[in-house]
Amino acid sequence: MNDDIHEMAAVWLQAQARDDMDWQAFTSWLEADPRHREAFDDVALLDERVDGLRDELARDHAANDLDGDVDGVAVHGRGRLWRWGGAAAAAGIILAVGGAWLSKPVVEPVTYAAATGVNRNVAVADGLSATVSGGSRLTVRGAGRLSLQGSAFFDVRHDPSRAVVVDVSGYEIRDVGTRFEVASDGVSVRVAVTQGAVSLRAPGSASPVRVDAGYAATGGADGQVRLVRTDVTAVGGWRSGRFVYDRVPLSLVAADISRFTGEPVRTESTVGGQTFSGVLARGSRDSMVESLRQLAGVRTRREGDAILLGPDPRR
Amino acid sequence: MADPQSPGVIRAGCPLAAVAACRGRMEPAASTSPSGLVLLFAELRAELVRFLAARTGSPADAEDLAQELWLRIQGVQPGPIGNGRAYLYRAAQNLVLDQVRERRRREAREAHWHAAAAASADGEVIDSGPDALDAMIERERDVALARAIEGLPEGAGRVFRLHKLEGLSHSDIAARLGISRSGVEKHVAVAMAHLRRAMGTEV
Repeated sequence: MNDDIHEMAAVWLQAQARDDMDWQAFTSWLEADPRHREAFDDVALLDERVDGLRDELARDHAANDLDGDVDGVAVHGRGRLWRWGGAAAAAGIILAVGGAWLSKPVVEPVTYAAATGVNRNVAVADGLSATVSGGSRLTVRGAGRLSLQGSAFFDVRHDPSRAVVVDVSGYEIRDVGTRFEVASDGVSVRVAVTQGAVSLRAPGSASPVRVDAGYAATGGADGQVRLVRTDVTAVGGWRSGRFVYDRVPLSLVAADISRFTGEPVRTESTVGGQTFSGVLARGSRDSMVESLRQLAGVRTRREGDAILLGPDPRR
Repeated sequence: MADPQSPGVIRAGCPLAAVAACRGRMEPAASTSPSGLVLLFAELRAELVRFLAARTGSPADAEDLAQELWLRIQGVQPGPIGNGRAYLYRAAQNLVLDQVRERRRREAREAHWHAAAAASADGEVIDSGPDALDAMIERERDVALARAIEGLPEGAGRVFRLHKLEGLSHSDIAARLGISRSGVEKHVAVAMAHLRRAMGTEV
């Protein structure tokens, strides 16, 4: 596309600031050639981009003026943008995360907390809903960024224009259209996928692990991710009154009971990583722990307010 | 996520009632009331639809956007609106621009998504973060744009900076430089065309 068309488009764009803008003549100009429309799109978006950078550019501009370049025309010094550009060239692509000066406006985070023992359904956005389990909290930080404390089941409609990212226990789960369950206890996480696939990235790791439907991934405090097959009908069972486990670390089972009942249940480190398969009915902490004790073959003892799960010496 | 009703969602455009203020292109004055705006819309509907069709290249989109515009002006709070006709056109213009911006963003993301999907063909590792990549691409474009502004030809560049960076109006610049107002517009237009060429279509 040649400059002439873009120049004309830019003249039309500026004319719109005026109350005597001839909108019908503009319409006729657009109708005369489909390239006019595209040129106008280009110029209007470029204009927005310049406006978005104005403060930063004006600072550079003013700094240059102070350097003695009164018209700001001939020679330009190196303001902040330039330093950033040089650094970017030197450091490769890592800088995307750095410097906040150009960051877009941030929407206030919204937190959905589910009361003890009561699951909460949340329509996060069009095509993205979640069931937050009792005692858990889901925070929506905007632009598809969520963080979770506790457990939740997510249902994400496929939409190629967005990714949904869940931060949990330092891990990052990334998804573009699936149904999956997340359980966490602050340091470890378990993701079970019933449909589609998600990626799970351990803290500090560059290479995420892909978790397909029918699999569950467990990530521990050590940053190691383990994949196991899982029964998809068991995933998210807690939403209908049963906690269904398929090789889930005991520490996460204990975290589920704590959150659900609002009373602490912990594991000794020697059994926390031991996995449990079975079904616990919703109930009081004591009844859930008793079921778990029998099914998992662990010993229970009280420690202050908490019930502590430890190894059964008879086994 | 594109649902403006949802919490935590950043909407690309401005709320229409605030659109003019947002873009700094509305001169407040008293005449047309909100209900007057709705009446004016009914009167101008045909020409607005024709404009929207020319602007989008799609008669179907034009009808949808006209409907959207009508809905939005119902919600305009009572307040002074100077030139109702210009207001409606600018509002229509902004609706189109929201759509164009969103489409180009989507296309860029889809291209990225396909690239990421291809990279994960081994089924083990998938992409390392489109958000970070998006942000990086945005910043690279901003840096490229700043460089392109630096490289503008002298006359056009000077006028462009006075107008876009220092915020002087066309008539202020015309008075200051002793040229006509249309001369100022021409300089800015030349600068914009330069920038567009320097940036390619990726703006």
